[in-house]
Amino acid sequence: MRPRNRPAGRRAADLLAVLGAATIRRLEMLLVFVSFCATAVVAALRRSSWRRPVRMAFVDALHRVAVQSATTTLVTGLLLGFLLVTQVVYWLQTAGQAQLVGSIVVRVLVREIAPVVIGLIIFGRVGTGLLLDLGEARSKGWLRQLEREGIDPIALLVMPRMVGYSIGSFCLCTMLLVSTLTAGYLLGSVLGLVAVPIWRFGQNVLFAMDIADFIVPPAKCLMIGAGVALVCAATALERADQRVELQQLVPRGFVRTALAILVINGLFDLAV
Amino acid sequence: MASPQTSVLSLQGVSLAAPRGAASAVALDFELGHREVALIEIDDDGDAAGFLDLCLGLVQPRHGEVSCLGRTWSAQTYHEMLAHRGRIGTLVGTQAWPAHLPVAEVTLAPRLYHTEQPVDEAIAAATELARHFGLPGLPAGGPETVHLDDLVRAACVRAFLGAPELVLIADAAVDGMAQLGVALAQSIGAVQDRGGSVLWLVDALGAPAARFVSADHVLHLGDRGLGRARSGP
Repeated sequence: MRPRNRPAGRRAADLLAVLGAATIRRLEMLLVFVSFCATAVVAALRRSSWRRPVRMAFVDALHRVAVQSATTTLVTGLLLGFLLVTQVVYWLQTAGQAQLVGSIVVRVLVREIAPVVIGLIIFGRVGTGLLLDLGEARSKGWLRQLEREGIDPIALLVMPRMVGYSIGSFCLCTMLLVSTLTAGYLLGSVLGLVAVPIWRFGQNVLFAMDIADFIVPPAKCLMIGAGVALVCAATALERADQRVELQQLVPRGFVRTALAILVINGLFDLAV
Repeated sequence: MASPQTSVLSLQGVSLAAPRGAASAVALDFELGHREVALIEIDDDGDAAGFLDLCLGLVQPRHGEVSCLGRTWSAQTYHEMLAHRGRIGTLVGTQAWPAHLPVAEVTLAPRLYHTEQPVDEAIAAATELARHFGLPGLPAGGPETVHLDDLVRAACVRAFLGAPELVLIADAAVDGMAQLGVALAQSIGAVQDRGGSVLWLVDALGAPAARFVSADHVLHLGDRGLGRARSGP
């Protein structure tokens, strides 16, 4: 029977069935991802997981994020400083609210923008590489070979990257904040928008921060770094069939990573 | 054949998913004792990989029990199984290497993962084995820079590095390399001298690399299960 000849009730039931199946599939994927993350976290907490190849993978991941991505982060910080801090200073001075510079910078830059930008930088600099590296693990069979050799694949491939990206994310966030504020101050001084010395400018920003600002943004950075690693690793290890193009993983990974960054950011905002 | 208590590898009443050409699953009974070498002819590469994973406890049989190095796989926790597999050398998937890591690093990984042997010592031992298998040393570059035959040789180094108590071989590329035959036979002899055992799953008993090996059991895995192929030497 063709669909247009079906009774309305039957079509509604079919639609519900399709929606239900899709919802169940997504929920199953989410549960699998949650258990994948929990496994990686438990592995990180087990001392016995930190064997030599795992430690080497951790150092490599940390180096890729904190060192190899430093230039990109500093340049991004300079651009953000020119665009954001200078604009904030200019408009607040125009409105006669120059004393609010510190609190606005803290609210916008430290709490919101920096962690999200760092998450996107990490994805672009190392997340895409992770997708391509691990994307062949199952389809080429070397993931199975690791298991045959008694090597825990989660402990070797996922956990050190999760920890490395997490710590690296915090380091990059610190670099981004310092470079953004410095660039904003310097440009503001050159344009005559800022009349105070740099230490007073820094003091204004620091005094605008409360205790939560020393805890939440760093925790957000750590979680976003770990989230990027876990989402990229899970997306890559999903690919079991060589007929699925490796390049397809990058856009899929980008969408999922961006979503994960925004969700983590939103959850922290809701919690505080 | 060895008794289950003294065997290095034991398959008791194990139900193997239907091999190619078989209508239904076949039941297997097999014992491999200390210092023994078994050659099992398996027609299909997929069946060989499945059999190998069964021996390594990566696949649980629907019926029966698989014991390895004195312990049953099903009675072990996940981490116990990992540690147990660290005592076994596997020569399989010789063309499957991670593209983002140097071949040398992947070759050394199992040794460094399961032991606290100093890195220098592990590299020295691996280099010596590499020369034994016809390489000038451990390949430093990624797998795309290494000749396919040399990847097979590097896989041999990985399998025999660190005095494994049991070595499992299942790879068509190894079977076809006659020039590896003598080196493999010597390494297998060294495993036997240490009290270890070797199980080699070949696609044909006349495989060039396997001709140099003196086997205690020569069997065939077909649609009727595991049967004697011809008398051992």
